[in-house]
Amino acid sequence: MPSSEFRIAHTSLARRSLNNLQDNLTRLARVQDEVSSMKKLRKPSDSPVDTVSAMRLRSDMGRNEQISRNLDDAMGWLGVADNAITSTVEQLARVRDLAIQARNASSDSVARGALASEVEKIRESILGLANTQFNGRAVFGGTASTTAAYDSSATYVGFSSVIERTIAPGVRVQVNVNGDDLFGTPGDDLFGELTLLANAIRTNPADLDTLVTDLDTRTTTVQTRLGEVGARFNRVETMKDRNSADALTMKQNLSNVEDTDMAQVLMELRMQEVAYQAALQATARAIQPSLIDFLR
Amino acid sequence: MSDFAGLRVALSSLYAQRRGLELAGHNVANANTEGYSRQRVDMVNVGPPLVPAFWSRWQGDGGGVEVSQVLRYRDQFLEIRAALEHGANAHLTQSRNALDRLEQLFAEPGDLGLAGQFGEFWAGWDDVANNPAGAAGRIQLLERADTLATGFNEASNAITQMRLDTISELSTVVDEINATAATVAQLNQAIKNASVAGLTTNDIQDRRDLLVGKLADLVGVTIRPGEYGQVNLSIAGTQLVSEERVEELTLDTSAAPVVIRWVKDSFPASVSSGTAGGKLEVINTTLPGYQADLDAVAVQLRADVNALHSAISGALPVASRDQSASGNLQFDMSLNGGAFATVTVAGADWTAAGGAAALQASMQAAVDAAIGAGNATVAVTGAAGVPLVISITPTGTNATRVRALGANTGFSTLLGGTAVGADGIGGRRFFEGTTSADLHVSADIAGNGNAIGAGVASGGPVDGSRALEIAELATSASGPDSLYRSFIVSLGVEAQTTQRRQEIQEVSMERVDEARNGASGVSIDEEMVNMVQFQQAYAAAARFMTAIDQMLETLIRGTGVVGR
Repeated sequence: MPSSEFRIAHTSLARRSLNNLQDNLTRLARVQDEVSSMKKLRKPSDSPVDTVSAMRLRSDMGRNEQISRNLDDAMGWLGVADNAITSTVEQLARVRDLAIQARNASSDSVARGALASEVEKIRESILGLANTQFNGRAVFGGTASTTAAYDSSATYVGFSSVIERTIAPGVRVQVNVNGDDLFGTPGDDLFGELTLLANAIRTNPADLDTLVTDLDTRTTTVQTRLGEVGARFNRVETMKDRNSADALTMKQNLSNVEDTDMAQVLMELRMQEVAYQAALQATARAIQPSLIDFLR
Repeated sequence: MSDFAGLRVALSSLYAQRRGLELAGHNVANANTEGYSRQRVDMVNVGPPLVPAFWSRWQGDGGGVEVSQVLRYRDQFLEIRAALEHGANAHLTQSRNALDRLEQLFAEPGDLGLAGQFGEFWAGWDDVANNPAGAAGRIQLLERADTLATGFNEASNAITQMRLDTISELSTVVDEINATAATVAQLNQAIKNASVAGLTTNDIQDRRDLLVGKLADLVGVTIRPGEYGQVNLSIAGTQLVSEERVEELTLDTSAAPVVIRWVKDSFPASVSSGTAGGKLEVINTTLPGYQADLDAVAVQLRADVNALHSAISGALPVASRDQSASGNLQFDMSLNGGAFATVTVAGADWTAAGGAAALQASMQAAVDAAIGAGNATVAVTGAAGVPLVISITPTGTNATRVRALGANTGFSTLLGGTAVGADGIGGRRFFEGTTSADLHVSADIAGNGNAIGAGVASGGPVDGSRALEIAELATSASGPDSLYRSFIVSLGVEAQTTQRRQEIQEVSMERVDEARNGASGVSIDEEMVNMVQFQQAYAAAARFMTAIDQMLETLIRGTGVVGR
């Protein structure tokens, strides 16, 4: 309140005291409100700058939560693909062993027949792996609506396409491997080669050299894909860690912007209480006496 | 000079002091009366007659005292300033209250505001992108889109309602201004009559000034003192009260902006102060301004989502510009929900520089043949060696849909970038509406999750790539989220500034009020001193009268008794 250079009437004194008390009480109420609501930012005008930060953080947190779901989904896709391809690579190694065995040993037709049928079994098994599903979708089938990437006659029925997930704001990663990329284009794919190999083992071991070379080339391709999938999986995993860390940081930041600093506000509350009581006491003394008390 | 002149001097003093004492009592009695101005007797000493005469001359001295007038302590200049300050404060209080209500309306920052609904909406697109074949995600997205649009509608309706409420409040204020001004004019008349008759008008003037103060709060009048203690009041230079005449105001709500007019000539009264001025600003500027800003956010949301969801477009890569081996490229197209008709574009070699123009011409002709000329415009751009960019834009308010024709690859080849629903149909708008009040999920989509274009025509049956792109609008620097944030911030800044201005204005208003009260308010101490003073003077006058009495007694009884 401004100190007055004016003549002071008793009503002015009373009114000014009342105004001051009201101001004190308003401040006290504001601090109490802050303590009880635990929020220092309740409306934009409390601090427009903090409001931008708070709104941005809140929307980032929502986005972060969604991205965390996207990351889980991406890890699912890539994990399943990774397992399937790893398994495929192992089985291809076994096929190579069988082929070498068939070529070297002057095995009889019965023994070669057994080797050939094992290769055929492995082919079936790899075909099963090629139809691996995640969440009802064939992971090697692209965006086809079918739940299998290859039909029973090992024909590719997928729709090769890039399936992506947003794993950080503005960052996407491909989560699928297309069957034709992995096993070769129709007419020139692993399954055809395995059939040829089995037939060669059984009837025509002389062709095995060429076929084994083909198999090696194919295995290299599959391994390359495995490397890619592994790298992407690692990237997604790293992102997942960062995403969790980000969530924590953002929560912390939002709390800094929006939430009450208890120690500070309790101190302020105490100060306002003292100030209010002092104002009450001063008012009680100031408005009581007048000349009447001293005239006889 | 008469021997009894002294008695008259004593009597004049007794009268005057008694009146002074009575007035001190009047002041004390009204110490707490609102609008009361303290009064004081103005005493003048009465001199001897100054008229020269031929034979006789007045030989005495003073003739005692008389009360010349009863003064009312009131500073006209402070009154004029107080009217200005009160008017400005009332104006700012109105703006502050309106902005405060707007802030409450949007409930930001928090989980319940539109920002939270935006977040949910974008997350819904991500869920659809993660599982384009799932019906649950699509239904959830539609629900969230509906909630978001309803959020906009409700906010807009609340602002409209606030404006209507303020208009009806303003109409009450105008009535109050008219009634108060009429009373001031009547009191002016009474004051003039009493003044002319030589009566004291102090107390009635107090009553009138109280009403003038109320008018200052209501409409921020300018005060100009008139004759015989009357006041004249004006609004922006036009007389509201001129002595005993009053001009009426009326509220004209027939058009926007709402105006207050003078009844006599229907001219707008430039009311820019007081409660009325504040409410006018809220009605004509503040609320429509924020509603327009909110509309801009809604339009941005609609435009951004629709641009990705309803655009019919595609691109022919450089390697595919030669389509001469493809035969007829065909797709289905429908206008405004009508039956689908086949668009047939004969495949040709569009590799050369003129390829874009050639494709545009043949495609336009084919579209015109299918849905009628003038309903949609085909545009193809791309010089030699770059991909051809193809788009079909419905004209005016037309809505077009497209879909593949059987196994023909024309749709995915020419219009591969078109978002298509799970039912294979593309070109549907997601949102419709031109303001925040009528933003809604398009009727083409509402209740039909499969109509959501999560993938593109060239992306395969369960593609989610378009949903992914729409979800990424969440973090777009020029997107609706960011626009909404700056909307809230500008609201916050204006609310904060207005709050501070009003607080400062209140302080300066209180300061003037204090000065006024200093001049006009009753001080008990002072009145006590006055009482003692007048009482003593009264006693002294009585003593003086006794002295004269004794003197006369000496003259009457004690003289002429020589030798008795």
